Amino acid sequence: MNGEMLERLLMDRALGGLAPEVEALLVEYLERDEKARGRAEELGALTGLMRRAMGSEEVEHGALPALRLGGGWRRRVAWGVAAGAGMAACVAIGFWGGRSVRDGGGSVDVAERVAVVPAQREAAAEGGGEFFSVERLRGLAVRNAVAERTGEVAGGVKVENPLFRAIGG
Amino acid sequence: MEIEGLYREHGGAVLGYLRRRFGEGAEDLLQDVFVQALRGGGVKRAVSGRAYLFGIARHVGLSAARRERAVERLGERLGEVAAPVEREGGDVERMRGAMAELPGQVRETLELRLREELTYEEIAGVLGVPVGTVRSRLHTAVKMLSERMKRE
Repeated sequence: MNGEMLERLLMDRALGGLAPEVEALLVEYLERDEKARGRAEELGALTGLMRRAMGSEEVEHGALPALRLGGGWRRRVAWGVAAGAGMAACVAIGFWGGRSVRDGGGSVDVAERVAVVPAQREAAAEGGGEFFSVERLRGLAVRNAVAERTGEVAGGVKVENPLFRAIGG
Repeated sequence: MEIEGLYREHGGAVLGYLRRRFGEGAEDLLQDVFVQALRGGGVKRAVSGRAYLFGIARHVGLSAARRERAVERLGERLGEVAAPVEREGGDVERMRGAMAELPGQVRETLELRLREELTYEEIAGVLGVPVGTVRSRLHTAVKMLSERMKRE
């Protein structure tokens, strides 16, 4: 066995840090190696002296005081749990309420909203709709042209759109 | 295991450690240790409840020492060893002196092994270092003390 490795094993053994199966193998080895056995005894005596110097045998832990985790700590835990539960309840109620209002609260059905779009398209094609009808765009273009000449901004908003020029603005 | 059970099983050892290591106020620190253990909840996941508690004890004690600006005095306390009831022989006194001169980390590791009787793995958990470092520090301690005792 490598001398350095043997020394490390002997130190671990003296410190009580060797696994039982490894220690058994080491003891077997020591029976055949007198010099190593002497070193093991030396280290054993040294660690024994170290333990005595630390006074591990004399140390008394004394009476163990009662555990005072304190009502404050328990109250904090209880408050934390209660606050969490309350918040979860609020979220659940909000979610449930939102769903019920959306589903049955008299709002416009999706089908109804979809039906509005073709009607707007038809109105725009006829020029009578209010949603970007030709008349509306032309009016905006005229106001824009006036604003350019007078330096004022129509309605507070100046709209730059090439479509106006096409329409005649 | 419930916190009360841990306290009954390891409270005495942790209190002894706190008294030796940090001196006055150990009883209050002990309460802090168990409050933190309860709050952190890591004791259920810890491999060794004892090592987990020692780790918290070390942290709590060092934090308290820092708060008190007593780091210098802590070094002195670390050098102290529990006074034996009766006077020991000359070798023990010499060994005590030699231990006081060990580097702080080495001495702390040695104390956790020989006095608190933690395993290498438990010490590694307490100090937050690899097991190999624990082994290396312990070997360093043995070598230094052995040389010192031979020299005198």
